[in-house]
Amino acid sequence: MYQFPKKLIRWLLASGFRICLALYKAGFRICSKLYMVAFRRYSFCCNIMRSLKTFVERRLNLTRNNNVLVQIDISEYSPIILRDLLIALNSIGNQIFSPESRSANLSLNIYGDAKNIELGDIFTCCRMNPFVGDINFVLTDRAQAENNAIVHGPTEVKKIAHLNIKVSSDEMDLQLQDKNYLKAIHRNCLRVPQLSTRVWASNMLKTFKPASFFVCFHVPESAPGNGLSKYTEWRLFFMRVWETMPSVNFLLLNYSLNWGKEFAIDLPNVTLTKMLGYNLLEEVAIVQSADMYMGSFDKYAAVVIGSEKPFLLFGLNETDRNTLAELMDPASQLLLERQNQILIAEDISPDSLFDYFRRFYMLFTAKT
Amino acid sequence: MQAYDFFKQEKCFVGIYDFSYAPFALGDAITWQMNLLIGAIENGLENVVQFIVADPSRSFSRLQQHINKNNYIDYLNNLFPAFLCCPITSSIHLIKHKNDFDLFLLSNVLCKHPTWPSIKDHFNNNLDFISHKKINKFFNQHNYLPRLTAPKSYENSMQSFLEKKCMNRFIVAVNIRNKMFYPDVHVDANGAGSISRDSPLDEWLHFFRIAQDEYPDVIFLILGGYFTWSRELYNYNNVIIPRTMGLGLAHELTLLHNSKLFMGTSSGFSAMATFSKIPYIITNVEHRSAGFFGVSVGVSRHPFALDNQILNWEKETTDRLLSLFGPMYEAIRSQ
Repeated sequence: MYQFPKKLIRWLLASGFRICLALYKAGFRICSKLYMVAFRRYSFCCNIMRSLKTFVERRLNLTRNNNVLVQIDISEYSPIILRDLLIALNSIGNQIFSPESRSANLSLNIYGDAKNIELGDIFTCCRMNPFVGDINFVLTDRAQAENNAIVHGPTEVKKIAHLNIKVSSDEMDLQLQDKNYLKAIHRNCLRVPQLSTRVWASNMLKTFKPASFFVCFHVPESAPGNGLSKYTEWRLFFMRVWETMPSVNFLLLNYSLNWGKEFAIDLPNVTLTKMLGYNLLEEVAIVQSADMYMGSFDKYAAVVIGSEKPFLLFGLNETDRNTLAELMDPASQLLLERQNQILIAEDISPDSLFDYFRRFYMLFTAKT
Repeated sequence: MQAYDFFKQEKCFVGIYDFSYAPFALGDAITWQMNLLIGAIENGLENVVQFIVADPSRSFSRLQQHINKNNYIDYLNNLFPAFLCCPITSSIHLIKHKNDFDLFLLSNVLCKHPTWPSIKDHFNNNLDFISHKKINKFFNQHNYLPRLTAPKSYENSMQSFLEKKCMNRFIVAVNIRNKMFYPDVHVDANGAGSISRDSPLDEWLHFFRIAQDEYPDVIFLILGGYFTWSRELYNYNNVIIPRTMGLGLAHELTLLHNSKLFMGTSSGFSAMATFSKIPYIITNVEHRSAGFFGVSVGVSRHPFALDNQILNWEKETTDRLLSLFGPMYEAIRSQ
């Protein structure tokens, strides 16, 4: 019952706002100003009351603020920093969240060379973990970052590739694993936060080329053995796939000013997502909706590893291999013993990759 | 709020942008940052700390009722780079729980750090996000105005793009306001609303066609979302559309700062140009804005404008665009 007056006040305010606008447009500016003053006084009282309520609740322990604070130091620039961040976020999300903890507040200390890492993409990545609450970007120097070190609660410091991660909470004893993160998680918790974008990606694939087998594909332009700069070899690979498996469509997640258009114009089974204007979030939504991911161990791979999505990763460098060593069966090259998730440790030429891909595709078509 | 322990140690200027009363709009976010910058300088501080509050459990600005808890993250994601343009920002905090934050303000900020808006205004849900009142006052007192820069961390991101696509060309960043095809457009009974500020696209297209012949070294970068331009522009060889290459707002703002000239309708991008050092021609300035800008309708410059920074209050026509562009082009070329 007590909700009724509250709703009535809200309805009156909403209606009043419309009336106020109408009066303003009709030239009765004093009436509208009076309304605005009353409205602001009401907002002021409500905001103060809410703050006091929060204060009392915290003091009386009625609602416990179980937010975990995760501090991530990014001190050096790396082209795969987003991958490492996504791995960290996934690892954190699966390791420390319990029903008692409400969410994690992230504090990202960014200094040194890392100041050139595009913050918009970092923000996008942080939002992919549904448990993340507040996000704090501290753009500072190393000395200041060390002064900002967390002092409360038990603190665990771990390193995931290019990141130093400190986790702190007053309530819980926390553990964070680094290399074994994949063993610890059975599901990838990272996802595009907007339902509408996920639905859009799914529908886009349905309507773009119906009944196709969509492969999201990404390798860096200048990887040692198989970078996309080896344009001719990759062109042959895509052409062979086109001749033998015409229902396969590749969505290239790269963009390079050097060769972008050639791939899109020459090859009927290749589409460049960047040329369609898709941003990182939309690309991730597509990767998670497509039939498989294929390419290097990078930010896109980080959003499918740990999920049921089939993938084929190749050209892993030594750091990648160490990270994934305990998960990979050297004989079968399978990850977590899943038949449709293959890692190829060594550099592989586009020509040899074709056989792997055909095997993969046969596995898929056999099921359907 | 453990994350803000460092906040107790040093004095800084605090900016609060709460989406429960402030709009998701580029121009307003830019003007807010300009207010932070001058607020910090007036208080003799070298650090700005920004708090951006987007609490999904609270309703968003009454001016944008199409934004709700299900889609706000999309708008926030698109707008975020706009908050990186203040050169002395030392940290940015995105807050999800407004009640906790308000309590933090009362206990840690009140009477300790200067803020914009004031704490009282924040609790009143009141922010002056449009007017240049404070900015003009600062300029009158100090006879100079600090300028916003390209978004932090993106400063060098467009160098290879500019080298490959615009080598030795006269780069003109263009934004044509065109909300007609915007998915969340709102129009009132008289047909007015946000589309009343739109520019005639055909006139701009005609202008680009003529510029192809008359100014062959000029390249136009079209800024803004997909809804602002027509497909016809793909066929112009003196036009590049960064969005079609997967670039976003942050890259566009960086490109704007690397241009020789900005041309465009009075809107978010023009606000960025207004508070930057680059020459600009802002067209179709809304007459209602004169009060907010603190100038009279028809005035050709903001009080704090630099050389080659002009306003035009008329709707665009091809002839008008050419007559504005020609002299400006010559003036910048001769510098």
